Amino acid sequence: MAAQNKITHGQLSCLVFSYLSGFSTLFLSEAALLKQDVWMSYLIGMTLAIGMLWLLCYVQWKHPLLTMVEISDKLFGHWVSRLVLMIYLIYMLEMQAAACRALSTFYTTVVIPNMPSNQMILLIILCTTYATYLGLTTIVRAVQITLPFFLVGILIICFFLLRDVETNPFLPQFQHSFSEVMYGSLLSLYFPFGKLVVFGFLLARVKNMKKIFSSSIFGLILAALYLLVSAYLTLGTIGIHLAGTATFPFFSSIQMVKFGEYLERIEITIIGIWTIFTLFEIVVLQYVFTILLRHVFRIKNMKPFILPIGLLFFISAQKSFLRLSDLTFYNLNIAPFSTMLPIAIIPIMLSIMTLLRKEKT
Amino acid sequence: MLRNEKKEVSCIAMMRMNTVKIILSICLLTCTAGCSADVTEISDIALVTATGIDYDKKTKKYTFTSYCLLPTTTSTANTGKLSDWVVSASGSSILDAAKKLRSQVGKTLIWQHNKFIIIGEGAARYSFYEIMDFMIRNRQIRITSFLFVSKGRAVNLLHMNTETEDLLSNDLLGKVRNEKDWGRSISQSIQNIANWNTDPYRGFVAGKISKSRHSFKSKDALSLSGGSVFNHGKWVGWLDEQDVLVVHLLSDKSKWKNLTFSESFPFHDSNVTLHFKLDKQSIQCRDTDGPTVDIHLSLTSTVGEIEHYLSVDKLDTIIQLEHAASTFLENKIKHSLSHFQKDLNVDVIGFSDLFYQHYPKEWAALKHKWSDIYPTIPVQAHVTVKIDKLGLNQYLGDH
Amino acid sequence: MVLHSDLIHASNEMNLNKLRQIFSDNESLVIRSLMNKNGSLLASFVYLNILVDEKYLNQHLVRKLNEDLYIKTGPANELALNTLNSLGTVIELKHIEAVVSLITDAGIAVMVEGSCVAYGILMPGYETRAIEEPKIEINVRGPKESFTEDLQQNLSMVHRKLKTPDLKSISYVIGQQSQTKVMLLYLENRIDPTLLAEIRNKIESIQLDVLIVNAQIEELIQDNIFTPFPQIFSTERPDRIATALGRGKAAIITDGTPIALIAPTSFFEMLHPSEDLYERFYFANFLRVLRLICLFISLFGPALYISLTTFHLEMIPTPLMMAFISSKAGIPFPTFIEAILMETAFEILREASLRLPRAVGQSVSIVGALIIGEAAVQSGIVSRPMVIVVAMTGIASFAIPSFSTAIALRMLRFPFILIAASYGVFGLSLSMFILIMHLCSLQTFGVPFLEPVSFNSIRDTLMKYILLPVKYRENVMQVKAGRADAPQRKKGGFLHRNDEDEYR
Repeated sequence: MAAQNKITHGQLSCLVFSYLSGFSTLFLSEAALLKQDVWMSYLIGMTLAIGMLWLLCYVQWKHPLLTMVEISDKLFGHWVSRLVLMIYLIYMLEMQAAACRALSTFYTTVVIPNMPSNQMILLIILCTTYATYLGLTTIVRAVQITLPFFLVGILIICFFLLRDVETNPFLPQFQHSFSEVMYGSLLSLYFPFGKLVVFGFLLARVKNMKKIFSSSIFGLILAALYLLVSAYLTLGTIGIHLAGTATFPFFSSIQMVKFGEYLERIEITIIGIWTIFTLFEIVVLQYVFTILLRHVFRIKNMKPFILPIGLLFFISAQKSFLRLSDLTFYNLNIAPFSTMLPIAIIPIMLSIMTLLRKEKT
Repeated sequence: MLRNEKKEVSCIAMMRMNTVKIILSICLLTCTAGCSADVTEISDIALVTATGIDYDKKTKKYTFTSYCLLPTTTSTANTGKLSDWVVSASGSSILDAAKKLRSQVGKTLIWQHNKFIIIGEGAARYSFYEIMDFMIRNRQIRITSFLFVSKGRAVNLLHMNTETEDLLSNDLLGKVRNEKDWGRSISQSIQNIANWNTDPYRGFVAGKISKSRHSFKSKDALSLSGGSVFNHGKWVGWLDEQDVLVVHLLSDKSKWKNLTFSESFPFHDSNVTLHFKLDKQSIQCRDTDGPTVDIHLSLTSTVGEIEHYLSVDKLDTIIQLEHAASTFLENKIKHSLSHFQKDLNVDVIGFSDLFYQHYPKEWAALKHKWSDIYPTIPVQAHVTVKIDKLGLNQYLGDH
Repeated sequence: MVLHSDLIHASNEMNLNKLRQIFSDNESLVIRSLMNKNGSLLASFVYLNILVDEKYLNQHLVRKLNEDLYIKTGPANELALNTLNSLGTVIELKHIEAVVSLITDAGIAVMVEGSCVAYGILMPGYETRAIEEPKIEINVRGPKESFTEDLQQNLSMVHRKLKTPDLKSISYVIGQQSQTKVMLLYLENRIDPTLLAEIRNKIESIQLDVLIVNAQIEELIQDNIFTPFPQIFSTERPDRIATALGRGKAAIITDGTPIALIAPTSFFEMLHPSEDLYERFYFANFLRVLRLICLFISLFGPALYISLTTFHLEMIPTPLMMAFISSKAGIPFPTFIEAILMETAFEILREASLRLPRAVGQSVSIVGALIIGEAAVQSGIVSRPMVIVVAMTGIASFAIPSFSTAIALRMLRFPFILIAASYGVFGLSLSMFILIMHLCSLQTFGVPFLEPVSFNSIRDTLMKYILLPVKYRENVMQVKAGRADAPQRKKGGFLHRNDEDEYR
C-alpha cells in the first residue's frame, strides 16, 4: 500500500472519537434504563470494547503487512472468510439503517415535522456517498477540520448546563441489580462502543502500526467521557424522571441552555454542528462496507460501485424501522444480542486462529 | 504515461460521477426550493406569547386561549408597532381546541416564543396530567416556559389589560423578573414540573396568578403572588406569600441565588425591617433514630428601616438584632414547614429526594409509609444572620 | 524549440529574402545594410522598428560597427562580434527560425556576409509601465511596489528582496504564436525537490497556442479543474513572492502579466494578506479571526437568515422576533424570493461598478446601493432586515483578500440560499459537510488544500493557524538550528491519492 494513502495515528483517534460520538447521545437508552447507575454500564461496556479492540490489534500486529480482510482470508480460508465478511456487511447495513432512521426521525420529530424522511435519507446518503468516493484520507482530514468546532460547541453547552446541575444526579449509587447493570453494559457495548469493530478493517491503513491500539483507545475513552458527561448533564438538568421518559433526553437538556435572558433556544445551532458530525458515522460505515464488498466480490475497480452502494444504503434505510418503536425495539431487544456475533465472537475467533497458527509454525 | 492514462480514466469517472450528482441535486433542489411544508413566513405568523388552558368538568371541554402579537398595520410606513389579540376556542381535548383556533385565526400561530402557560383552577385540579402530557409532547412548546395556575378562569386573565399598557407578555416577564427582589411569587418551569409530577412521594409548588383589586383603582390588575401546591399530579391548594418565600429559601440554588427579600419584626420596642440575602443553604437528612431533617441557612442582611431610635452603631445592638432576626426567620420557616407537613401533607421541598439520594437503604423501608411519616419528621432550622451593612445613615438621632 | 530548421546561408541576400518572405506584409520590418566601398554587401541589420530602441541603434551600434568594419582588418564576422560584444550580450544564431524569434523578441539580428552565423543583440525600445503602487492588494505598512507587465523588471524586484544565488529561475517559452516567456522561481535550499519536479513537469507539458495571462497557466497546472475554488495563489506584490519562496514554495512569473502565481497554496493562505506579517501579531491574529468570520458570513449569511426566519423561528430572540414581524408585515415576497432578488441586485451593482468607466463607477456603487436599498424598503418590496443581511454579506465578501476566492464564495452563496429555503438547518449542515469534504479533497501538487491539524508538533499546528511573534516564526527557527541548507519537507504533508489503493 502506498504511503500516501495511509493515515496517522492521531487522525485515527479523531476518526474513532467522531465515529463513536455522533449518535451516541441521541437516545441515551441505557441512561433512561439505569438512571444514576449508568456510569457502571459505560465503564463495563468500554472495558469490553477495549478488549475487543485489543484482539483486533493483536491480530493486526501479527500480520503487519496484510489488511484485515486478507488476514481473515488467510486464517479462515476463502469461503469461510467470505461468510464472515458477509456477516459484517449485514451488520453495517443494519447499523447504517438505524443511524439514518434515527437522524431522520429526530429531525421530523423536533425540527421539520413535515419533511418526508425518504427525501432526508436520500440527501444524507448522497452526502456520505460523495465522502466515500473521496477516500479515507479526505474523510479523515474533514474530521480534523470539523472536530474542533464540535468540541467547542459541546464544551460551551456543557459549561452552561453544568450551572444548572445542583444535586449530584448519580446519587444514590448501586441501586440496580447486577442483571440490570449487565444488560445496560450490553446495550452500551452494542451501541456505541461495539461499533468500533469496523475499525478493524481500517487498522492496516495507519502509518505507525505500533500506536494503533493506544490511539484508538484514546478516541474510545474520549467518546466514553463525552457520553458520560452528557448522561450526567441530562440527568442533572432535566431530572431523573423526565430523562427516563423523554424521547431525546440530551436534546431536551440542551433546550435548557440560555445565555442570560436574551439568547435562549440555541439548540438549532448545536443540532447543525451535530448533524455534520453524525454523518461521519455513516461515512465510515459506507467506506468499510465498500472495502468489504470489494473483497467479497473481488471487484477490481470500485469507483463505479460507490453510488450503487449508496443507493443500497438508501433503500435499506428507507425500508426499515418505519416506526420509532421498531427502532427502539431493535435497539433494546434484538441488536444487543444479535450483534455479539460480529462484535465479540468473530474477533475472538480471529485471535484464536492467529494464536493456533503461530503455535503451528 | 501509464499514470497519466489512469488519471484520465479516473478523471472521466469523476466527471461522470459529478454530472450524476449535479443532475440529481438540481432535480431535488428545483423540486423543493422554498416550497417545503415546514416553511412559515414571518409575515404570516402571529406570535403566541402566553397561553391559557381551562377545563370545564361538567361539559368535559377544554378551552384553549392564546395571547398573540400581530403587527398593527400592513404598511411599512408605521413599523415597530405590535398589537395584541386574544383568541380562544374549546374542544374535547387540548389539541382539538388548539386546532379549532386555526379556523378563527388568519395567521399561523407560533408557540415557540411562548413563555407563559396559565392553567385555570379547574383544569389544574381535574386534568393536569393531560395538560402536562400535551406540553412536553408538543415540539413547539418550550420546556423552559413557566406554568402558572390562575385563580378563576385563565381566559379571563388573558383578556385583561395591563396597568402599564404594555403587552401582557412583557408585563408578565417583568413580573417574573421582579420575583428575585421580592420572593413572594414563584415561577416554575415546565421541565421541573414534568419531572416532579410523576414522583409519587413529593409534591411541588407552581406559580399562581390572580386578579387583584386595589381599593384606590377601579381597574383590576394581574398579579403574580403566592403559589399553588400540587401533589400526586393534581392541584391541591394555594400557598400564601409567606410560605412561598420559605419555599424559595429551601429550593435549589437557582431559586435563591439572586433573591433579596425584606422582613419586619419587633425588636426591643421598635419595629425593624431588614433586607436579607441568602448566602449558604444546606438541607441534610439523617436517619439515625427515625428520619430527621436539619436545615442550615446563613444570610447577610442590610438594615432597611427602623421605626424608632435604635443604636445600631453599637456592636451589641447589632448582635442582638442578628439574633432576633435569626429567631424570627427560624420561626417563620418552622411555621411554614409545619403548614406543609401537617396541614397540607405535601412534600413540597423534596425531603423524599434527599432521603432517596443519601439513605437509599433506609428509604426502601420509608417509602411505603411515606405519607404517614412525612408529617411527623422533625425539622430543625438553624438560621444565622449577619448584618454587614447599615445603609448610608446609621441612625436619625434620638428625640 | 523548432527542430526542422533552415540553417543560415553564407549568402546574406538569400537569408534576407527568406526573412522578407517570413515577415511579408509587416510594415515594421527594417533591413539595413552596410556596403563596402566597391558596393558589395558587408553586413545587414534586421529588426522590427516598433520594438527596438532605434535611437541607440543609430548612435552606437550602427556607427561603431561601420567604423570597425571599415577601419580594422580581419575576418568580417570576428570584427562584427567584437563590436557587438562591447555593446551588450551577443547571441549566436545559426537558424533562420532563431533569427525570427530574436527579432520578434525586440532584438536586432546582424548578419555578416559570408558567415553562416548571425549575431543577435537584444535592444528593447518599447515603452513599459513604471512600477506603481499595488492596486488590488493594498496595505498599510508593507512595501508599496507592485509587479508590472515586464518580466525583467518583475524578476529584478524579486531578486532585490532575495539577494542569494539560491534563488533560481528556470525560464520557459510557452505558446506557439505568442512565444511568451514564463519564469519559475524557487529557492534551492528551501523547496522540496519532488514538489519542484512536479511543478516543472506540469509547466513543461503545457501546450498552448497563445498565452496572454497567467490565469491560463493556473488553469492548466492545477490538479482539480471543476472546483470553484482557486488553488493557486495570485499576487501582484513582490514581497509576497519573496515570503512564499522563503517558505519553500515556487513562484511563476509570466511576461505580460502583472500578477505572479504561487504554488502550492493552502486555503487559509488565501485568507491572509501580506499585511498580516507587517502588523503586531496580536492584531494580525485578530484580523485572521475576523476574516474567518467574514468567510462564514459571506458564505452562509443569507442562507442562515432564511433558514432561521422560515424554519427555525424559535432561534431568534423574542424581542428581535417582534421587530422582525413588524418590519416584515406587508412585504409581498416570501423571504426566499426576497433574498434572491436582493442578492442578484447586489451582484449587478458590484459588476456594474467594476465595469463602468472609473469616473462614473464610484458613484454607481455607493449611491446605487443606497438608493435601491432605501427605495426597496420604502416601497415595501423588501424588508429592512433582508437589506441589512445582504449588505453585510456583500461587505464581508469584500473583506476576503483573495479576489478569486471571494468570487467563489459569492457564487456558492446562491445554491446555499436554495438549500436553506428548502431544508433549513438540515440542508445547511449537509451542504457545509459537502463543502468541507470538497475542500479537504483538493490538493495542489500533492499538498492538501485545507490543511488539517498536525499531530507531530504543536508548533507546526500553531504556525498554520496563528501568526506567532516574529521570534518564533518558521524562518528564524531554521536558521537558528543551523538547518538552513537542508531541504525542508513537512511530515505527512504530501499525500497523493492513489486510486489503486483506495478501498483496500
